[in-house]
Amino acid sequence: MRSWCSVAAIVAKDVAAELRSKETLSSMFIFALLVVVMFNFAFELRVDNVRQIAPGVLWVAFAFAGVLGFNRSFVLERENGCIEGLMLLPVERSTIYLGKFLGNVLFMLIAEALILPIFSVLFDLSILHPLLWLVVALGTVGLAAAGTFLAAMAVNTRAREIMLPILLFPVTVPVMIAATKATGQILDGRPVAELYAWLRLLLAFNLVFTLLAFLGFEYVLEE
Amino acid sequence: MCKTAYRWFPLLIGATALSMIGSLYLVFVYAPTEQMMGFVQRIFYFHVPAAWVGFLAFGVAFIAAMTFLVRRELGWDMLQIASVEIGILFSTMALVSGSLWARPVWNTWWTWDPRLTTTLVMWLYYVSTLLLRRIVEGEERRARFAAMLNVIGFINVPLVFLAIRLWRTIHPVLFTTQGFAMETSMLLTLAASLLAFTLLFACLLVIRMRLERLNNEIGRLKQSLTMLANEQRGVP
Amino acid sequence: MNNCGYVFAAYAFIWAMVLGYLYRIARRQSMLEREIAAMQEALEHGKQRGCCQNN
Repeated sequence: MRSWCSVAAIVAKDVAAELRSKETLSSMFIFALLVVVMFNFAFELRVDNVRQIAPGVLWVAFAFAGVLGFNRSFVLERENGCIEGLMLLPVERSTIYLGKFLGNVLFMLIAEALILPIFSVLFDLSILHPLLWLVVALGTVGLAAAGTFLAAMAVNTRAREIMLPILLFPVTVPVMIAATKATGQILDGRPVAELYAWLRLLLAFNLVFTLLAFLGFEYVLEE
Repeated sequence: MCKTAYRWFPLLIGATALSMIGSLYLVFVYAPTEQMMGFVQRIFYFHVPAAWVGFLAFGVAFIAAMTFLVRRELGWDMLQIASVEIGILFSTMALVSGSLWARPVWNTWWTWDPRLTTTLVMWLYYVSTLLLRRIVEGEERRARFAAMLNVIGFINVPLVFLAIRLWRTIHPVLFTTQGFAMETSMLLTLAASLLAFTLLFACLLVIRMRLERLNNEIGRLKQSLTMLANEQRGVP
Repeated sequence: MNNCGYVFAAYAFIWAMVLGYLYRIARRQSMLEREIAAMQEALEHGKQRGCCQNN
């Protein structure tokens, strides 16, 4: 019971900090926006039907925005010495992971909610499919599970900005593939049955990775 | 442990050389020419063992990583870094030889096929872990992070095999449900080549670990020197 | 004997990788050995001087 309170407290702390500065959310949003706009513009020049590449563009945008968010969630802690503070708490490291993970998911979902309408306008696609929102949520959870875990490691390095994407990309390939494929199928209006394989993959990855990260986080945040 | 390993090392090298030469004969002289692909098919006898030894190396790294996390002895960290490096070496060989084989047979250097994609992703992952090692400061932390990444990363290996069960692939499949889809002479040649590559892996591992031990010794010597210097200067 | 070139290239690449790797290790090894020898000398030197000073 107490662990869940600690998790909630960590999330609340991150949210409070964010409400004050709004740095992370705004940079995530702007970055994702840039990606969507630039890709749309660049491909419009060459590709006949830009809607074909829309799912890929969307998920690349989310992935990059996510990387920004994950990095910041630990960099800020590190800069202000909060990591030591967090570790002094009488909670297990895994709880810290959960708190950070949920915070990251929340921020990503907010950023994505802001991006989707713009995406819809630029690519001339309707986003009013509840299944689409489900895929976005599942993909976000997958990206955040891996991203939070790897960010905790990457932030300890000198080249922290570049280290996280390099580590994150190979790990989240299943998420990106499944999410992009599923998004494409939903936007194309394919029958729901075709989605199941991708949804299963997303769920499997989310479960496995969250569990692994939860168990392994102790080794990451030692000393 | 090191001393006995070094005594056997010349023997190991000899065995490797012999098996290499033997497998060469089998690959180029003994093995029959495949019907459909012709001479180019012989790349198979390098491509498959290279890939498998790569997986083996990452498996060794996985075990070393887990052992390190439990026992925290730096010897296991040395084993894991050596294994990962050599694993990347062999995986590169597999990827490139596969690509060279693909060009005449599939008419393309590369395709985003499940088997190829998962192998490339695995390669990228382990290369990133090496990069992380260079950048993280602190010997103990470096070892710990690397161990964590190697434990998680090993899931890539079964994924490469599973990928062909989940999705269709144009990559030839060796182990079907009906057993090996190959003639015995080819199987024999493959086995010989596999033995040669595995022995080569063992050799490289010993050599690389020797280097890592030297590295370690330098670290210790540096510490002793600093302590000595501090003593003489009267610094407590 | 078509496509011999590809088989040769694959084989050559494998050799190049293994030998290149061994070469790299050998170079690092000799560098490290030299460093170790130098440091051991410095350590000996320092210890001798230390003994003299204490006496």
